[in-house]
Amino acid sequence: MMEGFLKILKKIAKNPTSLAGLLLVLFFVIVAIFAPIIAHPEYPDTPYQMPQSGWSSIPQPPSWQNPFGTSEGQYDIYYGIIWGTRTAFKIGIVVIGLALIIGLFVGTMAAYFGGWIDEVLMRITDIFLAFPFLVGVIVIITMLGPGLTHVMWALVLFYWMGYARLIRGSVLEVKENDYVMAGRALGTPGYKIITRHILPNAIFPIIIQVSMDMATIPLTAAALSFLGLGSPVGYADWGQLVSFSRNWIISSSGGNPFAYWYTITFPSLAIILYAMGWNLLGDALRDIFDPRMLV
Amino acid sequence: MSKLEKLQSEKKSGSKAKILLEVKNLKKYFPIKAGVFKRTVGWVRAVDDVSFFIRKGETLGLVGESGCGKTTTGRTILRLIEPTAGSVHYGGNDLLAMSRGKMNKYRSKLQMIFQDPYGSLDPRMRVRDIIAEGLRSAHVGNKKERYEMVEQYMEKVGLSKLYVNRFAHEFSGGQRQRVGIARALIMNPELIVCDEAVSALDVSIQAQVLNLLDDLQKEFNLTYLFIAHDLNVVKHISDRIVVMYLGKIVEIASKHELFINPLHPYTKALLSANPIPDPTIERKDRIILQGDVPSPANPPKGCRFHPRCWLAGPQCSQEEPPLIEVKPDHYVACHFWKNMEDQN
Amino acid sequence: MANENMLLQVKNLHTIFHTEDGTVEAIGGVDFEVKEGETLGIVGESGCGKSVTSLSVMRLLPKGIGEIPQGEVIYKGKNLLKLPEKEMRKIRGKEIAMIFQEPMTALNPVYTVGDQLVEMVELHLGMNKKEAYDYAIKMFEKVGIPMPEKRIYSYPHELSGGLRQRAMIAMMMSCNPSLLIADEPTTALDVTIQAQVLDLMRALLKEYNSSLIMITHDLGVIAEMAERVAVMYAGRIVEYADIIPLFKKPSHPYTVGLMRSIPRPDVEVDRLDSIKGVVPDLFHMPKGCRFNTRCPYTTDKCFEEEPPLFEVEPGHFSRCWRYAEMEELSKHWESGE
Repeated sequence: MMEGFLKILKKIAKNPTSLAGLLLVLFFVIVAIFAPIIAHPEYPDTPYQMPQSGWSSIPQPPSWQNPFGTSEGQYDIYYGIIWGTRTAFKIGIVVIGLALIIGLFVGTMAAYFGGWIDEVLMRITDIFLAFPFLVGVIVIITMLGPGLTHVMWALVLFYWMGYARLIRGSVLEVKENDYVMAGRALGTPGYKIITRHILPNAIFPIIIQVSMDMATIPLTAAALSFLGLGSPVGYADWGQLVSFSRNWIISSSGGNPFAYWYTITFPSLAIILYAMGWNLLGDALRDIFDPRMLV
Repeated sequence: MSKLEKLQSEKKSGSKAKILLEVKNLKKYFPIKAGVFKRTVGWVRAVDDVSFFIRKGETLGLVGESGCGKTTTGRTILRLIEPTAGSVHYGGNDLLAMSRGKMNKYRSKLQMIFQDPYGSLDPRMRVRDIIAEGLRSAHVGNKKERYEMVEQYMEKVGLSKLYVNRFAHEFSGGQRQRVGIARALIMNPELIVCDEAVSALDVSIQAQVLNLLDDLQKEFNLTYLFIAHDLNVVKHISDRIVVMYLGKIVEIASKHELFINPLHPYTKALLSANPIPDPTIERKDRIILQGDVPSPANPPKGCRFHPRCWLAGPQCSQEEPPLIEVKPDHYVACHFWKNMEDQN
Repeated sequence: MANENMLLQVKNLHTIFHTEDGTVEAIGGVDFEVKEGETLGIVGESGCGKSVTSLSVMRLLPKGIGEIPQGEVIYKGKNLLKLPEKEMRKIRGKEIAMIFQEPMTALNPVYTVGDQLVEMVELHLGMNKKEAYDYAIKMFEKVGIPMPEKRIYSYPHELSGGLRQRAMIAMMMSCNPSLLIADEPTTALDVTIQAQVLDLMRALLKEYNSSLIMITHDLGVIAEMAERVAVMYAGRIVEYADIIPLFKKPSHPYTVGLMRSIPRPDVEVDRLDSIKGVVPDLFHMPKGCRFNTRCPYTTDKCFEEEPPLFEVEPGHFSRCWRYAEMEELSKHWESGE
């Protein structure tokens, strides 16, 4: 087993892009885990609240106290990025996890049983797909009221269909394999055939999609925060930091137009690197989960 | 005792082994669906009124070309595909009339070996779990006991037990097929349906697996239904042979009788088309059939072989010949079997 | 060897593949000849290099992966390996044509079979559209496709396996090639259809006086079609002989094993002989003779040095140290199960 694991690492190490992806994601995981040490919260009860060092609306450049500078409203950008990593993971894992569970259930049922079950489930999927994604999400958030939890619910509601379709296709393909027939010939009951043979083989082709979505979903959440629909003011969230920099991207008061560069650069960089890491990791993940790579 | 001797001694004493499984009027039609509403516009008659039996301890070969329904027959008998009509009698019960739950109790007695040594083993399972799957489903023993049995059966099929933790892709084609055999054998079956079990293998490996099947048959007193398109393989391993064409049985006979005295024109053409690996044999009387096999969705009226048959008369396009026993243990479905016999 | 009717000579052909895990030799030192109007069979199991040999002759190896470091392929006096790609393109299809195992993948699914044939004769024979279509119908008729004037408008998927292979043959014969290479042309077909296709190929070869290289794993097909045979194992030709001596007096243990391991319609045996073990993989070839892991007749020398091709009799070659004793040795075969 250990030997196989080393072989996988070797394969990944051979491919510089997936190695870069792996390292980037690992970096963010470490940042998220050690956030309380890297950026010590002043009020441990509300660690996600970014500390403010004043009320002035003019951002302050990087200094010893605020390594990445402060944003509009004097929020510490460094603190926001570190704790924002946790927010990004939280949104990604919750939204994709729930969407995946719904997608798995709908897709597997539709493909395995076929017939009218397939028809009904896929038509429901089509109805959800008919809504433009962002518009649908915004409508739901407006109905529920802003807030991170509501954003996540709204995203789940309009995100599972892609998985349902992918999994349905994948299950349809896997179902035709002789080992599924062999399982039936051995008297294995239907639900065990699904859990033992079909799902493990059907789910891995979509791992790449999941990895890509780990990048996309926090971006979408960031966009919603930017529009003011996401987290409450002061909540550590990359989208909100970008939103704070909206008026400072190009300085309006004459002089150096990029005087407030830090307000946009650091949060954007975090978002870009995070998204890139997951995107590059996709291929590597598929390899990691494929036993055929163990040869 | 060799197979040949066994057969001869049976013939002399006139005693026949008892019938293990009897298939009667088996039919499997697949619907052809079309249009927005998936209306059924026709039926593919993959297996159309097929009856035969298998004696205990024998190997019954089932040959035919692609689309003749041989695989569907095998799968329908084991109810891996639900039949359209017919019955399969086994141990005093009709397998096709049973509830699914009851059928599952019989599954261990009726096992299957699949054609594709790549597709028939789950790529994400270790070999020990693949072989133990049936035991686990039947709740036999605990995990430790099952793994002990797995090791025992791996040695029986000629696989080192050192390989228990390997994945299927780490084996060669022949070894995978041995895994498939162990998986069936561990259930202690009476009948094994071998569906093209050696067709995907290279010839030198094919011989190894055929010999293994032969050894296991003797050791475990197994009965085989051996489905294949390769006449030479079927002839080698079978005692009796069933020939199918377009969803119907055209002939059943012992292998010697069938090869020496084929009474159906299709059987004769099939034998004649079979290449012999000997360049010194000149085959002057070779029969080369014209045209293709018609579609089972729209089979010819009357005898299904008549559009390609050189003996066909007006009767053949009107009336479907029944499968009749023309001699002891030799069944044929042809209006002109007597002419065939004279020719032979 | 300036033989008058020599069509193709392959000399010391080596093909290597650059893979992710390193470079491997797929075939090493392959020699054979094809005379005008003659059929050469290349027989062997999967991975023996028989398909690689044909792709090397056609120079159709995957670019950047397959490479021919040494050897010569002399066709009508020209070394094909030295020809510029533009010249080579004129040879493919017109001079040397190739038939594949699965015509479904060799035919383009979005064009009708007629269009594909027409395109080829327009390119190589310089006919105009009208002439080309008439010619296509004639060719379809010749290969025994019923209703040719309708069938040329069929797409590949609309034809049965047998008809597709016939259409493929029509296409390949349309430019009257001197050499046809057929890679397992009947393996995907049923036996009655196989008999039809082999029959057709024989008739066409005779009519056009074309040569054929028939690549197959099936000794039965070889026995029916070939005049000379090269038996390949693990990237080497292990035996090379005329068809009758090969079957009468196989002089390499692999050939002996192969012939003993197949069930035959004309001989009844209680138990088949088999060749023990499996083909070694290209990365782990044994030292000495490549068959030594599976051979029942090995001596110490077989593990030390790879045997050259010995001439058993005039025109009959074997790559075995013990070729001279083979007739005696082959009376006993150890399956080693």
